[in-house]
Amino acid sequence: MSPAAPEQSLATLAFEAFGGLAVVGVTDADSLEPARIAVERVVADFDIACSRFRDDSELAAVNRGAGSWVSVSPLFIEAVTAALRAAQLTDGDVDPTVGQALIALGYDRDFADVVTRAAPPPTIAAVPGWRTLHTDQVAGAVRVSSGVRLDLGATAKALAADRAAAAASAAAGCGALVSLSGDLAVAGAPPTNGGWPIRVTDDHRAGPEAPGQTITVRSGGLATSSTTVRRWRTESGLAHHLVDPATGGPAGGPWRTVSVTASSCLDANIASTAAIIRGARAERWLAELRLPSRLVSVDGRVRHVAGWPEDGDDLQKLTGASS
Amino acid sequence: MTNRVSRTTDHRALAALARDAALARIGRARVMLLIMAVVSTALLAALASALLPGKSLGASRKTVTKRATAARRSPSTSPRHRSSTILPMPAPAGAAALGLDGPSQAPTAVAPSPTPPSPQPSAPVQPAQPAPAPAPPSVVSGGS
Repeated sequence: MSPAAPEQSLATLAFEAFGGLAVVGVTDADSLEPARIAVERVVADFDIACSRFRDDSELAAVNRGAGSWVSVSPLFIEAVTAALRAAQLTDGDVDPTVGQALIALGYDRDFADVVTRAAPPPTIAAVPGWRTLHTDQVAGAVRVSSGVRLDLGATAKALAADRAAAAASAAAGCGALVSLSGDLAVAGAPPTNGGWPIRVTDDHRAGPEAPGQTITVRSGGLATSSTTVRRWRTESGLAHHLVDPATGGPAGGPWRTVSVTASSCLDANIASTAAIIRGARAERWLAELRLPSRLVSVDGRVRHVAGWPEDGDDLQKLTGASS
Repeated sequence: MTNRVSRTTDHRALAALARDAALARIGRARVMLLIMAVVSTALLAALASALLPGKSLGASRKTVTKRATAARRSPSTSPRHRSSTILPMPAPAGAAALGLDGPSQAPTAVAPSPTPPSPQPSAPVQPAQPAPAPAPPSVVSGGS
């Protein structure tokens, strides 16, 4: 065993956060503890700002105060600004005003409680659209129109991963990786033996043996959106959490899982979420943006786009049109 | 008797003529009203755009978006208004704000991990390995 590069002692640890699994990795095992502390601080800050299921969160205050300006923290302004940017860049396919539509579908409480209760009758609520959301960055205030309920889940978690990775790297003084429910960001120098190894699959809680592909990431972020997780029963069948703002219902389309790498976890998450919503148009869109992507069809075949590596994928390649 | 019938017919004809004339007047009045409505709407719109450039009822009272919109519209206003509505240009957008940005380095594939060593003793084989392989993944990216 004669490594070409200096030996590194990679170390990771996992804990629960944002209703999913959080993983912190560092390239120097001795620095894992300060990295963990830094990540947990970022996670706590985002949770109190952006959680839809905490009555004391800023998001809950903004939803309660719909129709009037509500003073918020700079972090919440940043999260809302990120959500608005996502909406602008995707022509509204990623929309922060889907809160009421999710509630109407039955996702009105912590997900652990959603899956254990009796199947509710699903209803469809129109999505008012991101133009009903306004920010005043000078005054530090946010306003949504009456009746609008925000849900920043699509972008806030990814933004938190970016912030947490930067904080972890700074605290640990080495390269760091932070994954929040499968959306991950890296910061600092990557591992010398090729980058951070990541297993890409449908469910972030699945183990490394789950069908998928192992890749290495050296910079930026990687996000995966999937309709195969966070599903719940309704009286008319299964629903999932990726709402199409055009219909107010769960997104359909040919892709069940989309993974994207980008310069940040936020951009990767915007693209992966929008790709699920866009359906058959997603492949060309991602290729035009030159975002390396892996798209898995509903029937379990895979398409690699814009430089995503072809090798080592467990799934059969999809040939021909996606729809 | 004949005179009475003739007089009644005349009265009916006169009444019909009077009705037709009245209907024609109403029709002309409707056309005039429509023309006046169109003209007055155009005049009001021109007046409003001249007096309140860059304003709209739907604009929020003090959002950054409103200021940016006004700044974008200012070059298209007439020279007379340009001098009185000079607004500061918004700060140039960063590259990341203009669109989704790809990674500086594309991901690379990791070769499937080698099969577990056979329990049978065999001649030691030194696989050609120019660089150490990445550690097995302990991080999974998937839906949540």
